[in-house]
Amino acid sequence: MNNKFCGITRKMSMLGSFTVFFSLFLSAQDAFLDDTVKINEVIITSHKVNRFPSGYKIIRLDTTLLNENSHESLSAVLARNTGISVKSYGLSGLSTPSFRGTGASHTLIQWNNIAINNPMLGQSDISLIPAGLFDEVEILSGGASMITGNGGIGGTINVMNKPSWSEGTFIVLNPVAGSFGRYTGLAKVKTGNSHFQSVTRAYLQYGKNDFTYMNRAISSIPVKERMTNSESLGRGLVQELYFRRNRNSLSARMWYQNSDRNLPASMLTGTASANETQFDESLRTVLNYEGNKGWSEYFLTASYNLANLNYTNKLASIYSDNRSGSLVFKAGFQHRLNNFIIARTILEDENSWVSSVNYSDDRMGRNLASLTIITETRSLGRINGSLILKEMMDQKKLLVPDFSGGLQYRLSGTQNYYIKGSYSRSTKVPTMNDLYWNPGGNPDLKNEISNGAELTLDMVQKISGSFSLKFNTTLFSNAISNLIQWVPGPFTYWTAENAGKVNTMGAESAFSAEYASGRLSAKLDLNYSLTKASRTGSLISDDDMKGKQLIYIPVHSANSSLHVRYSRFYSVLASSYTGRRYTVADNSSYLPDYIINSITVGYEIVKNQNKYNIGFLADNILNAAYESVAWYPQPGRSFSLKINIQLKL
Amino acid sequence: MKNSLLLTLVLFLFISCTKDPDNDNDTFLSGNGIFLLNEGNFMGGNGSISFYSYDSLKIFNDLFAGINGRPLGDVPNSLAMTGERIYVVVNNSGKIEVIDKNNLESVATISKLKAPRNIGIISSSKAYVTSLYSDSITVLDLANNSVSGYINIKKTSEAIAVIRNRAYVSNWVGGNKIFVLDTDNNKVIDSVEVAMEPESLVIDKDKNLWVLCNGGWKREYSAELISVNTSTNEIARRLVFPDRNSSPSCLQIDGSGSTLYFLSSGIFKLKTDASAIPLTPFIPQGGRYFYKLGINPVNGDIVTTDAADFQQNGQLLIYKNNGELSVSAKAEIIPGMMIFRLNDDFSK
Repeated sequence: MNNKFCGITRKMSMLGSFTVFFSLFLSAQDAFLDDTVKINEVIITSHKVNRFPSGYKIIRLDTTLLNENSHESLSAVLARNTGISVKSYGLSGLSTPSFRGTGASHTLIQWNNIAINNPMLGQSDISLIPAGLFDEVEILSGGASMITGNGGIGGTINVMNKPSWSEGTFIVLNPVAGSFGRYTGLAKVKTGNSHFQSVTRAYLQYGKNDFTYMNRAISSIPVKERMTNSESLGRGLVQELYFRRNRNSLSARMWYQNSDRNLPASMLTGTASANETQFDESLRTVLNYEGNKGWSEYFLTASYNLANLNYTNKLASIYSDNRSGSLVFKAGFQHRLNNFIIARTILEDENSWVSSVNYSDDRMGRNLASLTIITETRSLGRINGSLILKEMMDQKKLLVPDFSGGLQYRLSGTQNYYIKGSYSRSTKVPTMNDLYWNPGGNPDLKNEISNGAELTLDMVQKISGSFSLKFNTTLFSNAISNLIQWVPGPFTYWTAENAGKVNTMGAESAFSAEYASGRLSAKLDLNYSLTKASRTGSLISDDDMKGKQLIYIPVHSANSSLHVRYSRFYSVLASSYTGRRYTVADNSSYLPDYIINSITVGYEIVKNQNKYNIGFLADNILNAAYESVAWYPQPGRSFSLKINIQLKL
Repeated sequence: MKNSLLLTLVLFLFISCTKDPDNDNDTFLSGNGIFLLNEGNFMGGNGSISFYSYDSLKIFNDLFAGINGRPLGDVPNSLAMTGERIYVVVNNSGKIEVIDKNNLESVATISKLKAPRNIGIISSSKAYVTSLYSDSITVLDLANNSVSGYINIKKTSEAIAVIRNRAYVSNWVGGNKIFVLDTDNNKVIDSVEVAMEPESLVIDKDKNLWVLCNGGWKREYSAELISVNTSTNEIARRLVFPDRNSSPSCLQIDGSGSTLYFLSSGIFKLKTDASAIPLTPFIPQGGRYFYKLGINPVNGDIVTTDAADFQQNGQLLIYKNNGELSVSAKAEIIPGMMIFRLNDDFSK
């Protein structure tokens, strides 16, 4: 593998990035003025049920961040702002997340607490999820995943739409034009009062994605080439209706989306490109009722989802038409037993089906039901704890119960310093492809089992009325047994087997500093992740993979961002570092580390309740040449012009 | 507490990258030996060439990239040697790398091929290339290292064997035919219906074509080993595998043209005049995964590859013709097809 990208230049650029950030941050402190203009925030109210008990680490990406990145996919937002490792095949290619060294199918992707993973692959292409369509992203690691759903033994990413009960009608228009023929348009209409709210969001994205890159596969000296077969067109519509009366609320949400894209070939195939295309289409609906009575809360949720995936490879004459759907019912009841103990019960039933030419039957279905019981203490002095028990029933088979226990200790009686810890045992059932793909699917597969623990130090410090600091660091460990892999069988095809064990361990740290005074406000975020992930069990003797870092899992990753706003001007400096990723199992070759730096500058006018915002983004400003997946180039330096107009009618 | 928080900030980790030590500067050695293709992971671009030296008894890996400064490509599937040239068919990169057999330096790249699989050398100036996806055989001009034409056989193709002015091409995936091509006119002149999925072909000492049909992945048909008379293009003999679950592959023949070998969860061996398929392997697979097979045409060494779990480096295994394991050498990822470079001084 070519190691030319790794070297002094890279170290210098990273050092430079952080230096610039810190110096800007420090100089900003000297320039604080009295006339405060705070960064506008959208106030969102959250459901009382489904919140998280003590002892677990929850990360939230808020509306402000999602709005800033409304033209981006969830893939880009996660890669730049969290410790989640994202594997991307380029601007219009597949993109999947990995939590703490686990696989993409170990990550549960939810929309408003409903699983949207493709039941065939058990994973979700997060490049198809536009950040601008949502209000918040919850990121749950370890045992916290057991609370909102099933099977997220790596973690859960929950994209959410939430009501804002402000009066009046607002219209938001958010067009963005950028390099490589990329255009996005987002429109949002919100209207209502304190009892009823309607939010409509429409999204349109087109990208020619014809960036140039250096092809290192065809010559000893890389050759400049232009990306071909990379055009993409995406459309989305989200409709939300919210009703509220007293302490009860009813919501109905619908999300339709389609994506028509060409899949770019790798550098290796070049002119032998198969002209691959993929059309994804999905319709998702959720109806939710939440009620309160005395010390009790409850919810009822029904969701119906349909998805089509049509893959075409003209060269290989593959025309693969796959349809899937799910019907989900959830019900939850929470009761405060006394001043200290809360008990919660969640029932879930997910009935999913797949119709695919690749299965022996035209239509294959499965039913997964679960009962989750959560008991937690609150207001119990400095110590609080929680216990989660989950019983799943796959088809008609009861599984060994999962469980998780969490503890939280407040270090100081006056400060928000906490130590949190949890231990969890959780189960993931095989995907439909693992079970039924023809040939090679294996209906006798065992479930994958995760045994994980995490310990978090969480500190929030208010230095002064205008300056606050946050810091948290987490140590984690996870062992996954019965790992499902496709391995060569005795015939000419591969089969799904429980092929080993994986151990992951590492640390995550995050630091945040916020300042707001006068006309100046600033926020600095730093994140770092250390992930060691290796296989410990194997089907073969003399396994050279044992103890080696899993492929495409970086040991080190980090990102930072600095938001500075002065009066009507604002800027965002962001930098993300992805460490070396091994590309073969014995770690003999790897993709070098890379750093992506970006800068956004903008100007915002607020007049009455109307806002006019224009921003200019320069991404990958040092024009780093990098690959997330080997031989699939990522774009170099690019520019975007972003306009955001919010009108109150 | 404020101080402790600031201290944690100071301790916040900063990252740097360091470079691995350079690989061993092994050099490719000339002499007698085996050129071995390592297919690498699909879409991994880590296909490579190894050379096992009969002289030094060492294996040299990753030769192409080391010598030419670029990767060989994605899934090199087969190779052939004629004159001073080795032709490496790189399936998923849609190309053939033409390299010098003495130093492995690239001479030319014939690109824009559709999923090429195997190459049959017709003459010093002509070769045919089969295709996993195309309905045509590609005709190569070896003098200019270019594509000179196509022969439409209306089916995809896999194995190829050449005798006299005839080329025999198998229609493997879902097929059951052998197409007969006139190499003088580049035309299809005949076809032979054999059995399900003819996977590999060899020519024996009596100029009979042997066809190994693996029966198809659905296991609806039994595998068969079929002999075709190349003078009449008619089936001479059929040996049906007794176990429906047998999925044999990689038919090879020894230097004398009288003993056949193939893989089927072990290495099987039978004479061309045998009346039945052996029930047990000549060399059991044991805990290995025998992937490809080659027979030294001079000393009869049985050379196979162990692909391990298809994710990590496999091995080149050399058995004496009495079945005794003599060499076990670490190759690279998914070691596959091979050819022998044996000079006149190579002794049995």
